[in-house]
Amino acid sequence: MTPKLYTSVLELPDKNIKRRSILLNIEKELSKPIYRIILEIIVITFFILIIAAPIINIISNVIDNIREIRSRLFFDELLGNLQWQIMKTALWNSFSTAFLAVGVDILIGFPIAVLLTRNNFRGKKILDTLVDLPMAVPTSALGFSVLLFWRIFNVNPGKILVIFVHIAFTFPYIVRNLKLAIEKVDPLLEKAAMTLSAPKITVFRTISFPLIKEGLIAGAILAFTRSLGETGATMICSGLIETAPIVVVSLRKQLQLPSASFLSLILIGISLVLLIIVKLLARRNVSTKKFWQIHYDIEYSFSRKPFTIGLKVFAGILMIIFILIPSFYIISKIDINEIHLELFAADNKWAHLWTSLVNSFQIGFFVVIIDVIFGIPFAFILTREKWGKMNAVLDTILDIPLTIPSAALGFAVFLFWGPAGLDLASPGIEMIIFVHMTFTFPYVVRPIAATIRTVNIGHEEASATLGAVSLTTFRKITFPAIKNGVIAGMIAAFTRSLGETGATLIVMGADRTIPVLIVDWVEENSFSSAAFASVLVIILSGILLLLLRLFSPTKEEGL
Amino acid sequence: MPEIRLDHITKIFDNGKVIAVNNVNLIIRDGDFVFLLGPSGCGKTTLLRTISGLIQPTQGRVFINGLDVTDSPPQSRGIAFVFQNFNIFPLTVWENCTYALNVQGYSRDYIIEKGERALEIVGLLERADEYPIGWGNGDLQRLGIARAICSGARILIMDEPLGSLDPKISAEFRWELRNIIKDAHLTAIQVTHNQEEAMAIGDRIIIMRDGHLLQEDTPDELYKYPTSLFVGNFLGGINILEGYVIHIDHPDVYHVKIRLGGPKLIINAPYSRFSLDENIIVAFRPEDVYLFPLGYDFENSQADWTGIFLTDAIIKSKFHTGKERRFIIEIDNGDEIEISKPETFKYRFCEGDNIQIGLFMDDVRLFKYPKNLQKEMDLQ
Amino acid sequence: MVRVELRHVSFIQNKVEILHDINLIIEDQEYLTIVGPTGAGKTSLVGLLSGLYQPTKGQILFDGVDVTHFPPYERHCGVMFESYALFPHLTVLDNICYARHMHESNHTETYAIGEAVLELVRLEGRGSALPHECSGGMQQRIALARAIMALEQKGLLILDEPFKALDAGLRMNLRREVRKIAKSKELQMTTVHVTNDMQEAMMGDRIVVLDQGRIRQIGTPQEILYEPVDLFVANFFSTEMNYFNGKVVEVRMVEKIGFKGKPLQRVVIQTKEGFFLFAKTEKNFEIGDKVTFLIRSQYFQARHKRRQDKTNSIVGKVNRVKFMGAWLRIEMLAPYQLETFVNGNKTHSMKNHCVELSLEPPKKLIKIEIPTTRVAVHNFQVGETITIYYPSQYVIVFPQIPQPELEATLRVN
Repeated sequence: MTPKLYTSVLELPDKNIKRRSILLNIEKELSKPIYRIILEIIVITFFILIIAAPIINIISNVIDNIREIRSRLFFDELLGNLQWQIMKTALWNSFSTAFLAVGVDILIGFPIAVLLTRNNFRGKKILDTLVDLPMAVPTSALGFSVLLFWRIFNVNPGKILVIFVHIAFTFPYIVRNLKLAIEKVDPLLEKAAMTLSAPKITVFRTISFPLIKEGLIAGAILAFTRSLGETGATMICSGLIETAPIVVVSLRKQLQLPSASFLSLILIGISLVLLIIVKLLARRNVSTKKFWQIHYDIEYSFSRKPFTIGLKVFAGILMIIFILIPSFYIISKIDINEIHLELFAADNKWAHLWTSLVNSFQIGFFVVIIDVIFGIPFAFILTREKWGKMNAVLDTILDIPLTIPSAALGFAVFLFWGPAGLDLASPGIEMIIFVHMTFTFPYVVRPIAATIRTVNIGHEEASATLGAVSLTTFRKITFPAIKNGVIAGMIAAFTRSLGETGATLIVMGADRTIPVLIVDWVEENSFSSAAFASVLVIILSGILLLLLRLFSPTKEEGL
Repeated sequence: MPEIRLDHITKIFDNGKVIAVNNVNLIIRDGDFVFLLGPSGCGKTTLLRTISGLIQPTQGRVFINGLDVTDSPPQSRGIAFVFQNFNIFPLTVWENCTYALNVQGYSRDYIIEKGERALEIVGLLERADEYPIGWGNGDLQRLGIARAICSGARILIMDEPLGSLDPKISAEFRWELRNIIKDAHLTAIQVTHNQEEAMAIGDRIIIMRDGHLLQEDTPDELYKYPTSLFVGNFLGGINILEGYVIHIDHPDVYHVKIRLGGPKLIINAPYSRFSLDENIIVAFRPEDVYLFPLGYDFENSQADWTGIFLTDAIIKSKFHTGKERRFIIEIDNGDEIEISKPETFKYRFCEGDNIQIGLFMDDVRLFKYPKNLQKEMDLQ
Repeated sequence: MVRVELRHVSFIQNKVEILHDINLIIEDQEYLTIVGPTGAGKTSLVGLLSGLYQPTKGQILFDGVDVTHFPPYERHCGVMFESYALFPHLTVLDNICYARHMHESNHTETYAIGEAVLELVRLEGRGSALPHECSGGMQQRIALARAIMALEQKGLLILDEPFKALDAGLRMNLRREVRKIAKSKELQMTTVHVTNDMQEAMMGDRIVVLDQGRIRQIGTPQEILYEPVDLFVANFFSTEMNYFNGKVVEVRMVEKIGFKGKPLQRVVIQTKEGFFLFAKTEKNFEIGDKVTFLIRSQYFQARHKRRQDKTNSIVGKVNRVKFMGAWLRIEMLAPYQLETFVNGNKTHSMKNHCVELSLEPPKKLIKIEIPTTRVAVHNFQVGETITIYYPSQYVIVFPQIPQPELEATLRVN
C-alpha cells in the first residue's frame, strides 16, 4: 500500500494502448444529438399517423357525409328511422351490459385483489395466473366456452349470457388494476393506522380505499370500454340481441359506410369522454369528508378474522363459479371422434383451421416487430424527454386505442388507410396488420415505459461519467435492464392481436384469422370443430401468458 | 493539474421558479479534499452535478485545468462520480470496476492491469468474480470508489458516499476513504450531511444555503471564525445571547450589555463594525464555557485563568452523549446556555446546583442582529 | 403510563430467528432506548410491542395483562415510524386526531385536543395543511404528535429511529425536544426509543443494547459507558478505542465504590509495549492475570510537560493532528519501553538488540481526542513529544481478548 502503486493506476494511458473497436466508433458517431432528433421525428410521425390520424379522419368523414347519414338514419324512404332505432337499442344493450359486468367484477374483484396483494398463502401464484388467464384467451374462444357451460343450466344465448361472458373477460382488467393500485399503497400506512386504534375494516375504509380509488376508477373505465368494444364473444353469445360493435360490423358488411362511421364516432366519442374523466381523476384529490362517520362498533366486529377471511373465500367461490369454470369449461367438451368427423369432412375444415392459424401468427409476428421498433424509442420519449405538456398529450393519445372499442377503431383505420381514404391498403392481411398495430401499440409501449421508469437513472449517469457515449450506455446498461419489459410488451401485444375479432372482421378480406374462424363455425353450428379450435388457442394463449409472467416487469403499469 | 474553477455558476429549475444555485464562484485546488455542506435543498447536489456535467448550468462557466468544459458531456471531463446509492451496475465486480476502460476501448492487457490494481486498493480483488448483489453498503461503496479510480479520472466527486452506512461503520470508513484519496493523489469533492465527518477528514469546507455559497475555508478557520451566525450554528452548534452595544473603546473593543438584565461583556471584535446602541448577537461555542463550583480557588489552579469572565448560573439539566457531557444552564436573565464537557470532566454537578460559569472573551464572536433570527438559527 | 414486560420472547420470520429469548421490563414512565446495528432486530421488537407481529414464543404484558395476542388496535400504543407514515390524503390535524376519532364520538373535543397537541410540538396553525406540504422536520413533529394523541394516558410511546433522515446538527436539538415532551409531567408517558446511533441512545434512562436478536446489556448510560459487559458494547459506545494487552503486576483495594456498588480495585498492568498503566475497576483480578485495557480516545488529556507520576501516562511523538471542530484528534506514536520489556536487568535487553541491528524500536499508535478549548489545547505540532494521561476510573478492563477478535471488532488497520 504505497502511494506509488496508486499513482500508476491513474497514469494517463498512452495513445497506442487505446484501440477503439468499430462498434464503439459507430456508437460514438450515432450518439450525436442530430441522429437522436431524426429518430424522434420519425417515431412521432409514425405514432400520429397510426393512432391519431384515423380518429381525426373519421370525424371529418362524418361531417362530410352528414347529409347522407341524416337521410339514411332518420328519414329513409322505406324504413324511416328504423336504423337509428336499431342503433339506439344496440347502444343501450352495450352500455347496460358493460355497466353490469363492471359492477359485478368490482364486487368480486376487490376481495380477490386484496387477497393477492396483502396476503401470503400457498398457491398464490397459481391463483394469480388463473385470474389473468381470461385476458390472454381470445374472447371468441372464451365466449364459446361460456356458452357451452351455461347451456347446462339452460341459459340460452341472449342478454344474460352476454353479461356473463363480459363479466368473465373484463374481470382480469379490474383485478389487475386494483392490484397495482393496492401495491402502490405503502403497507406501513395501514400498519400505522392499526397502531392508531383502527380495526382492519376501518383502516381499509379510511386509509387504503381513498388511496386506491383512482386506480379503481381507471381499471373500471378500462374494463368498461373493453366490454363496450367486444365483438367476437358477443356474437357467439348474443342470439338475437345486437350490441353496438355488432351493428358496426354488420353495417360495414352491408357497405353502409356513412352509417357505420357515425356509430363508430359515437362509440369513440363516449370512450374519449371516459378517458378524459380518468385523466382528470388521476389528479389526486383530498378527501375533505369527515372520515369517521360510520359506526366504529360495526366495523370493529366485522374486522374479526372469521369475517375478513369469509369475505375473501366467498369472493373466491363466486370467481370460480362465474369466471374460471365457464372460461375453461370447453376443455372438457372435446370429443375426438366428432372432431375427426367434422374437421376432415368434405368442406375440409382442417385446412381452414391451419391457414387461419398461420394467418393469425403471421399478423401477430409482423405487428409485434413493427410495434417494438417504434415502441422502444417512443417509450423513451414518453419517459425521458422533458417536453412538459407535450408528454402528457402523447401519454393521453397513447391511451386512446386502449379505451376505444376495437370495432370502432377498426372502422376508423379502415376508413383512413383503406380504399375510402388514403387507399394504401386493401382489406386483407395488410390491413389487419395496420389495425392490430394501432390497438396493440400501447400494449408494447406501456410495459417498456414501466421498466424504463424503474431503470436507475443513476446507472446511466454513472456510465456517462465513466466515459461511455449514450449509445454505448444504452447497449451495456439500459437495454439489459429493460429487456424483460420489452419481451413482456411483445407477448402482451401478440396475445391481444391473436384474440381480436371485431376489428379484424371489419378490415379483413377473404383470409380469416382464428377468432373469426371460431365465430364463423359457431354460427354454422360446427360446434366440435369450434371447440377444438378454441381449446387450441386457449392452450397457446396459456403458454404465452406463462411466458409473459416470466418476463413481467416487477412494477407493471395498467393495461 | 486538475484544478476546478467555477465562474458565476447559476442554475435555475422549473422555468425560473427554483434557483438551485445562485452565482457561485469557487476554486478547488489540486489535491484538496473538499466538503460541500448545507441544509437539504441548498443546492449542493446541483452544484456537484454541474461540475460533473450531468446538468448544464443556466449561466456561468466551469473550468477544469483552465479549460472551459461547460459544454462538454460528462464522459469527456475526467471526473468520476461516486453516487449516494452507489449505482453499481448489475454486472460482476470485475465488469463494474473496468467498465470505464472497456467502453473507451482500451486493450485487454491494459484493462487487466489497471482493474486489478484498483480492486487491490479497496481490498476487493479476491471477490472480483462475484456479483455484488446483497452486498453491504460498505463493500458497495468500496466498489464504487474502485470503479471511479479505475476510470483514470483525477477528480472524484462523491454525493453522500457514507450517508447510508450505520453511524458507527461510517465513522470507521471515513478514515479509510481519506487514506485512499490522499494516497491516490486525487482531487475530491464530497457532499455530506454529517458536519462531524466533514471536519474530521476534509481539507476545506464549503457551506451553502439557498443556492448561495456562504463561506469556504479550512475546518479550523471555519469553526473558529464563522462569518455568519448560520455557519457557526450549522457547524457544531453555537450559543447565542441577544445584546446591544453600550460603549465602544478604540475602534474594535465593544462593551456589550446582554438583554433582560444580563451581564456586561467587553469583547474585542476586529472583524466587524458595530455602532453604538446597535442590536447584536453574542455567540460562543458550547465547549468554550467553563464550569466551576461556587468558591473555586482560581489562584491555586493548574490552568491559567487570567482574563476569564465569570457569572453565576444554575444547572437546568444534564445528559450524556457518549462522547461528552452536556449541561443546560440558566444565567441571571433567564437565558439558557448549552455547555459541553468531556466525559472525564471532574465535577459531578446535579440538576439545580448553583455554579459559576467562565468564558474567555477571545472565544466570543459578535454578529449583526439578523433580519430573521429564527431562520438564521434554523438548520433545515 | 404503562409497565411493559417481555417474558422469553422469541420471534421467527421466514425461518430466521430474528429475536432470541428477550426478557425485558420497561418501568412505568421510563424512557428506554434500544440501540443496535442494522439487523439487530430492532424493528421486529417495535412490531412485537405495537402488536403488528405476534411473537413465536413468549409473552408480552402491559401492566400485568397478557396482550401477546391483542391486535394492534387494542393496544393503544403510539408509534412514530422511521418514515413517519403520515396519511397523505388527510390533513395534519386529521392525521393527529385519527386515533381519537376511532373511539370518541365527541369530535369537536377531539379537534380541540388535537390543536393543543399541535401547539405542544410547535406546529400551531398548520392543522389544515397536507403532510407533503410540510418540511422534513415538521413531518417528524406531526408523526410525534400523532403518536402522542394515540396514547390516551395509557399505552406505550414507541419511537422507531425517528431522526434517521435528519442532519446531525438538527438531530441534537430535536432529540432534546422529544425527550422533554416524552418526560413532561402532564403526559407521564412510558417511551421506547429505537435507534442505531449511540449518541441518541444516551438520552435514555436505561439503554438496551441489542445485537443479532439478543440483548447484550441493559443498563443506565453510565453503566453502559463505564462497565460494558463485553467488547462489542464497549466498542459500540465509542468513536475510537485504544487497546493495550498486558499482565497485571499489582492489585490494591481502594476505599471507593463503583457504579454497581462493589468496591473498586486498583490494578496496574505492564503492557506488551512496556507501559505501566493502571485502572480502577469493580472486577476482580489477581497478579499475573492477562488482561486487555480499553481506553476511549477522548478520555486522554495531553501535556507538553512530563508528569511525575509515570504510571498512567505515556510519552510519544505527535504523528498527525486533525482539527475536528469541538475536538482535536491527535495520532501519537509511542515507542515501546524496551528496557522494561525484557524484564529487569538481563544481559541482552531488547534495546541493545535494536541498537546493534540499528533498528528503530517499534511504536504503538495511540489515537486521542482532546477538546479544542483554550485551556486544554497547547498548540500541539507534528513531531513534538507529548505526554498523554487519563483518569483511571475511565478505563475498561477485560480478561485478555484474543488479538483476532480485537482486530475484527475494533477494526484496527
